Amino acid sequence: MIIPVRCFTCGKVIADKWDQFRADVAKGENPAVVLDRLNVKRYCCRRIFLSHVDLVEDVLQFSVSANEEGKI
Amino acid sequence: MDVEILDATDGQLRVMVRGVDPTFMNAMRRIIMSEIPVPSIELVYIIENTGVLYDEIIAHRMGYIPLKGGEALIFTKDCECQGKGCPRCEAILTMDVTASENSFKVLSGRLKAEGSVFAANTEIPIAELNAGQRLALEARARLGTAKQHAKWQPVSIAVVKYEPQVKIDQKTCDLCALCVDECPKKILEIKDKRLVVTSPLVCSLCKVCESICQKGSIKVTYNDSNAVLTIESTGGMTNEELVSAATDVLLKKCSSLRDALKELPEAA
Repeated sequence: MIIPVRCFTCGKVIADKWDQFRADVAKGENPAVVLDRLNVKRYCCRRIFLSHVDLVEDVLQFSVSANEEGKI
Repeated sequence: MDVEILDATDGQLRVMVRGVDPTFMNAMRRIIMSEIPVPSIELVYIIENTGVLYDEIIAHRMGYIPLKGGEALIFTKDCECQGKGCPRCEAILTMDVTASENSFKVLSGRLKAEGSVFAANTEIPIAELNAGQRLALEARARLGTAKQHAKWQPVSIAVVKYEPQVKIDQKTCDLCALCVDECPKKILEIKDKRLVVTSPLVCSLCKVCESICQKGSIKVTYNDSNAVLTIESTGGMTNEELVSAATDVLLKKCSSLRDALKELPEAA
């Protein structure tokens, strides 16, 4: 759904690095190089970045946005 | 006991402790991993949540945010309030965010500290909202240890490794360089017609060099009275603070044992 706050295995905080990772990979960079640069070194943390699907973006498409007066 | 800081980079601290019992170092490691009291969000009262993420998901995510401060907090179970929660054992954080645009990320920096505790990392996304959606809540942070729940874990790694000793018999070594190619850590090198170990502490004690050597001139052992402790904090406390907090916890355990012994009836 949304990137986990911490690595499931070791507990390192990873959620703060997701936006940078996604932006750099979208530019065509090698994910391995990006993860090294973000100081995500262990494979337990790396697999979460590599396998994560940010479904929250898709789900947000189905939610109703409010208009300018705050009414739905 | 002799302590030397090997390096303190990338949020990691590596210290070499010489002349120490392996069991003692293991006690330190286990205390750092699971017994240091740190604050973490334990209760979340949702005032309004019109976003797509369920209240439970948001509350669960907030628990994992590393928190700073709260040195004066005490455990709720030891508090005069008898577990109800009061300013002595709880710190309040509030948040009220209304998204101004679509795909708005609510970051942990939006948490407002009402007590002594605040988010150590301000870049953690808690939720994602569309324009006009609101997330308002009040969170209560309490002290706990990682034995209760992993959200109170103050480190991502705490590892003890014995000092590796790679012994090379220069008389029998024929410089075939099989071990140099085979070593996964690449710490063996031929220099001036001698096989040398470039950085012995990097050795993972895998003994591949030992098994590939046909002359039997390389031996990998370890010295368990010298240990390297590696820790990596999640942000709530610094690595140095964690090591000294661990010694406090161990001292407290020892003194509670002494107190219990004093209360024993005198032997007849």
